[in-house]
Amino acid sequence: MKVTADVKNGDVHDVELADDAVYAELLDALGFNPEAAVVLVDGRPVPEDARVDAEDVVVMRTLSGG
Amino acid sequence: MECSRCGEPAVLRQSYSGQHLCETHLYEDVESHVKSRIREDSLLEGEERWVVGLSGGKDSSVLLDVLARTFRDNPSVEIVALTLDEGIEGYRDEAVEASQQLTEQLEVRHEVVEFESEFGVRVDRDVEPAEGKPCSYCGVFRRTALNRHADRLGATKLLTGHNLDDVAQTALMNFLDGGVDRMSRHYRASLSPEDSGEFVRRAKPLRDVPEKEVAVYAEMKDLPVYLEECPNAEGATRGDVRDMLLEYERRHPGTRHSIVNAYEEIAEQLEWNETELVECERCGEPTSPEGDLCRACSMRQEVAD
Repeated sequence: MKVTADVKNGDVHDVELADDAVYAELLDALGFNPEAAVVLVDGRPVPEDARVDAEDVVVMRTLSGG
Repeated sequence: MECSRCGEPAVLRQSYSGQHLCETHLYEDVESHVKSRIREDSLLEGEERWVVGLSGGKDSSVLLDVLARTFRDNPSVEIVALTLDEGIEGYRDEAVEASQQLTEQLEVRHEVVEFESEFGVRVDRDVEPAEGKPCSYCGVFRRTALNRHADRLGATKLLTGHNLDDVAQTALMNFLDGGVDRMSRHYRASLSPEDSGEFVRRAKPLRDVPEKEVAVYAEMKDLPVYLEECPNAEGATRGDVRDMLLEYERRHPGTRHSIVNAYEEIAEQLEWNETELVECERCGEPTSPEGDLCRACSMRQEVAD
C-alpha cells in the first residue's frame, strides 16, 4: 500500500509498504528511529507497533534543539 | 491498539515497560515521574520558591506545565519561570514568544533576561563569526545568567527540563571522555539531593521521562512550544552519542534507564575534591581560584577583543 507522509518541518514523501506493515516500518523507510519520531493519524499519535491503517499521516521528529 | 491500563486508544508504546498508554495515562505517567523525583530528591524542604529555566522548547515547557498544575493550590511552593534571550535571530525570539504564551496560560510569573543587557553580547552578532564555536560561549553565559538570576529572584531551587535522554547522553559522554572529575562535578552540581554550597541548588525533575514521551505530551496538550533546532546546533559528540543510544535503546529497551542508574551509583561514590571558590574580580560570582575572572567574564573579554 502507498502512504503519504508529511514530515513536520521537512518534506512530503510517498512510501510503499507491505499490506500488514506497522508504523515502525514507515519510520524506518523514512530513516527515522521510532524512539525519536512519532506518527500522527488525524492529528493523534499512534504507537509504532500498530498496523498502518491510514493513507495520509504526519511524522513528527521528537529530538530537541537545545 | 489499546491502553494497557484502561482500554482507551493508545497514543504511545513504552518499550521499556512493555505498556501502551492512552492520552490520559501518558499525562498521569509523566506527572507521577515528576512527583516521585521531587520526593526522592527531597525538593520540598519548607517554603519553596522554585525558579524554572524556561527555554520555550518542549522539555522545559512540559516541566512547567506539570509543576504549575501540581502546585497551583499549594501555598508553600511558588513557581517563577526564567527565560534567557541569547540573541539568536529567528530562533530564540520565537522561543521567547512561546514561553510568554505558556506562562500567561498557566498564570505563572515570568522573567526574561537578555544576554545583550546582561553581558553586552548577542550570540548571533558577536560570537559566531569571531569564535566559530558559539555553543561553548552560549553555555557558559547561560549557566552564569541562570545562577545569577535564580539568586536574585530568591530561588530555593533552580529546576531545568532535562529529560532521560539528555541525562543518559551526558552520562555516556562523561564515560567516553574518561572524565571522572567531570562526572563527580556534574553529579554534585545537578543530580545529587545534597546542597552544593555556593550556588542555588539545581534539580532535574523530568529526568526519568524519555524525550519522545515529553514530545508527545507537548503535542497532545497543544502547549505553545517552539520546535525548531537552534541554527548553531549541534555538538558533534552529543549528536553521535544520541544516535548510538537511540539505536541501542531500540534493540535493548531500558538501556537509558540502566545507564543513568549506574552513572548515579558510581558518581555518588566518587571522592569530591572540593576546591575553595573565590569571587570573580569583575562580577563577584563564585569561581575557581585559577584565574582572576570567572569563565563568563573571561569569555566576555574574548568576545570584546
